[in-house]
Amino acid sequence: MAGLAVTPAGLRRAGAAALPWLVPAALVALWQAASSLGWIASKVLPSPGEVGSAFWHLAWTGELWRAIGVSFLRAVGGAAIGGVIGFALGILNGTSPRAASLLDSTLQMLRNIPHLAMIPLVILWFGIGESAKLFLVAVGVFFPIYLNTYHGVRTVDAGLLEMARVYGLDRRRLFFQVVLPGALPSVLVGVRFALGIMWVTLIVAETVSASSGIGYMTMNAREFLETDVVVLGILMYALLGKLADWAAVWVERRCLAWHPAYAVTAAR
Amino acid sequence: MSVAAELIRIAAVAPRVQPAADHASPVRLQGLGKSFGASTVLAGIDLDVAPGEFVAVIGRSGCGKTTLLRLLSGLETPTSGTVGFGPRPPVVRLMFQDARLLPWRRVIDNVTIGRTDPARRDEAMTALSRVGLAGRAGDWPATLSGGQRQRVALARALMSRPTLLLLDEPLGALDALTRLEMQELIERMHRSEGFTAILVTHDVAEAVRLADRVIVLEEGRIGGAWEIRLPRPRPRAAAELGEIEAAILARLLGENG
Repeated sequence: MAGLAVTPAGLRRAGAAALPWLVPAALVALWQAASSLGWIASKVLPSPGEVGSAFWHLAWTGELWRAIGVSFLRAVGGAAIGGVIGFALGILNGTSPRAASLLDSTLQMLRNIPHLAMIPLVILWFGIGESAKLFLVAVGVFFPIYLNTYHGVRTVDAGLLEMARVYGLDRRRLFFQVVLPGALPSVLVGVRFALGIMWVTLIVAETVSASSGIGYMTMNAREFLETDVVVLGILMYALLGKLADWAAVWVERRCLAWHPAYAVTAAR
Repeated sequence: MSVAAELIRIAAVAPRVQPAADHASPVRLQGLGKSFGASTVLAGIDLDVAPGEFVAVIGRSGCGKTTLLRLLSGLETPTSGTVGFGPRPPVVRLMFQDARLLPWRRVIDNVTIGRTDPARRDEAMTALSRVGLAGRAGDWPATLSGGQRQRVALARALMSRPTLLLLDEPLGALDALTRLEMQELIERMHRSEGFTAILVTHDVAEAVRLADRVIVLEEGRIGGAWEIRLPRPRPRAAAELGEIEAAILARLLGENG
């Protein structure tokens, strides 16, 4: 036990790590207490215990995992399509002034159309199938990725580009060693924005029309007044959004270890 | 007439012959001129630099000294006249006022930039230890001080064994003590490597301390040239250096009396 001795410093660290969870834990306890004491009707807001048992039930039947899987694939598929196109156009317009003067003003105009306002039109075009949801997510993700990639490439330090030219880098190496790493911090800001938009778009699209996924599960539960399943669906969306954000932060720390703003966390 | 007048040599005078290092390019500028639109930045520059010579170019802001270096490095093309480097193609490297290290590559990977051969890492370590930074090879540039970054930039420039090293006010942003250390380092490298060096600076003391010849640029033309025939390494406060420095300053400030 000598190696695992509880030291004051260790306790302080554990305390510091627990501190951010204190308020959420207190809120859940308060929620449970209010439900148990009958202050909140369970049809309005079920208690944490009821939501927990709904989770166990749906996890046991496998319904929950199927719904999460379908929603996850929609989110990732749509984001991949929109992200790749946005990134490619951002690089193209950032590196070629001619392409930028041809395309950028058009894209900036389209950017002002709220993509969720297109839902009626998208349903007319694609029906309520998978392609409608993929399309909406892709459009939502496209713009933050495009704008930030374009901005990132445009603002790569001109002094570094000049230095690379003096040191004889060819176009390919100039792109991979100077332009792309220089644009990366901005691209990753775009990715974090895009992940947020990705979930919001998917939630709206699945709630409006779906025959599978988390949105379908919650809307179906609403018909039968299963408030606990509705709350569970909301929590699942929140959890998936948080996981996506964690993934983005992890990628940022991996890719931007050189950046002074990330240096402290990377050194640990 | 003063001491200054005695020391003035017109630039057209042939350069002092040096023991020609085999690893140095001569530079010959003939009628070199550069205009941006209607404004003429450089006009009719004639200058011969011997292989291995150290020339300092000095002048007020906007006199065209940075443009001269950019023409020499090929970053700009001349409007008139020619830039020649002798029979063999030169290896030209340029040190900027800021170090211009790629922040996303570790120190050693900055030094090897542009090289793909297998010997590059060993050579980069040698170059880094010569500037006293071998221990920082694996660090990010953001963790270095300004002087250390310029030393990495110097290692990067020396890595490819340049025959012509162009220095564009590389010490301008450093504090006084670091600047003195860097001057000693550059002088030592010049002596051991033998490359031709052209230094643009606004620090007259620095120019006089480092250069074999100091050239004053005035409104895009060569206004005067001073040869400095003192042995190296030069002491920091030699009386002769002070005299030449005073003469050049008098010229720059327009006190021709």
